Amino acid sequence: MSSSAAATDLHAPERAGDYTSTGLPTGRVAIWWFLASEIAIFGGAVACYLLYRLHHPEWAEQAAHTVNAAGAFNTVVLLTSSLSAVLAHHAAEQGDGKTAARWINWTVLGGLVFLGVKAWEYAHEIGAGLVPAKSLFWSFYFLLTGLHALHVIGGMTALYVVGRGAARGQHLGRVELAAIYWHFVDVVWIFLFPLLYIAS
Amino acid sequence: MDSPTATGSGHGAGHYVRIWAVLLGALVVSLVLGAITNSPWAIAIIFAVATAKAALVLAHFMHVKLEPRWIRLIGAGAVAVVGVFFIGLVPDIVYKFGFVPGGIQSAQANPANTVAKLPPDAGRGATVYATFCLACHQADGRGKNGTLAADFVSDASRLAKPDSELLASIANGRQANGLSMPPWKDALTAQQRADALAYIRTQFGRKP
Ligand code: HEC
Repeated sequence: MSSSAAATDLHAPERAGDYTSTGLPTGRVAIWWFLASEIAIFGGAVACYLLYRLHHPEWAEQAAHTVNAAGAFNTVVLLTSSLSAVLAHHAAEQGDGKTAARWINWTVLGGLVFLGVKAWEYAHEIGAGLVPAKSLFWSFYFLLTGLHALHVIGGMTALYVVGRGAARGQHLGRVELAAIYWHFVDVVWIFLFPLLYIAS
Repeated sequence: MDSPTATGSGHGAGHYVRIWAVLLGALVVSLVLGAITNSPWAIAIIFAVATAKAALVLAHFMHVKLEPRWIRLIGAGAVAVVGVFFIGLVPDIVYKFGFVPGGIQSAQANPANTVAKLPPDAGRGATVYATFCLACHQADGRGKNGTLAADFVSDASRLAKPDSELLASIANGRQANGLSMPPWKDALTAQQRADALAYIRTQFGRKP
């Protein structure tokens, strides 16, 4: 394989087994394989939701109770945190771990803001009696957004750990992997927002 | 094939900021559309915009294009599995009654849906009863002694009513004593309702 062992090679093997037999870094193969399984998880849940939603046009009334402004604000937050994630990746590629770590911090902050808004929404909804047991729509709402929020927490944790390493100039190749995962979480929200908020 | 280590797109930071601006613009389009109308075409556009946004993130932030083809096939395979799952379940869930012979679809095909074309037939009615009425009225027609639904056997006054009255009850539904029967006029055709009544009369009515 033409594994160019240039000085800037971020994925230069650190240990035996850092590359798969395909010539790709193990981490990159793993992250995509992992995302494929995530597609099955979110895809399955979203497909079920869509099927029932199509069968029950009257759910639109219930979907009207989700707070569009909060969802839209959170969409902006996640899109922006994806921008800082890709900028972190960009900096890491140029070997600038300090800058990468700074951008990662912004991304983690975005995740925190997202969760704060989501928590406010949950409190507001549960206070109004809109709990998972209220109806099938609210079951789906809490399932989909809750699963997504867990992924936000997981992504933030991974980014935080990777960012601490990057600040010390270590494992810069991992920045890309954590960023790819974060973008995926963003993509899921891009679909959840119209599914649960706008289309009412 | 690209060198596997060259995942950088070669773009500068400005490129990413431009993509981000486009993503925000697309969000505004969806919000405005969603606020002014909820017609089916607007919803279709909103989901097309969401798909385009996802494609932008995949292409420019996740650099999917720079991955080898087999990596992309793994993702595409997962999407395809979800697609098959969805399509396979559409008949069962979206059109729940779609495969019951002469079910909800034929009812919709006949909007007036007030007259049965053929003479009522208890044989056909048995299928309708088993599918739609059995849960409440039960196999013995007693509706758990009237605790779930009308008891056709012990309460002779029920089937003493003329067909026209009973058919109206079936079509429009009935409520009494905290129990209720849903209206059947949209879910079943007039033919199916008449057939079901014929079955009830032959099965549970007083023999003359
Ligand atoms: C959800 C439960 C439920 C289902 C399903 C149901 N019924 Fe009923 N049905 C009732 C109840 C409850 C009553 C009694 C209401 C009352 O006390 O007047 C009733 C009453 C009736 C009566 C007597 C009406 C009258 O005027 O006295 C007929 C006839 C009848 N049902 C036919 C049907 C047929 C035919 C079906 C299937 C297509 C069906 N029911 C399905 C609950 C049900």
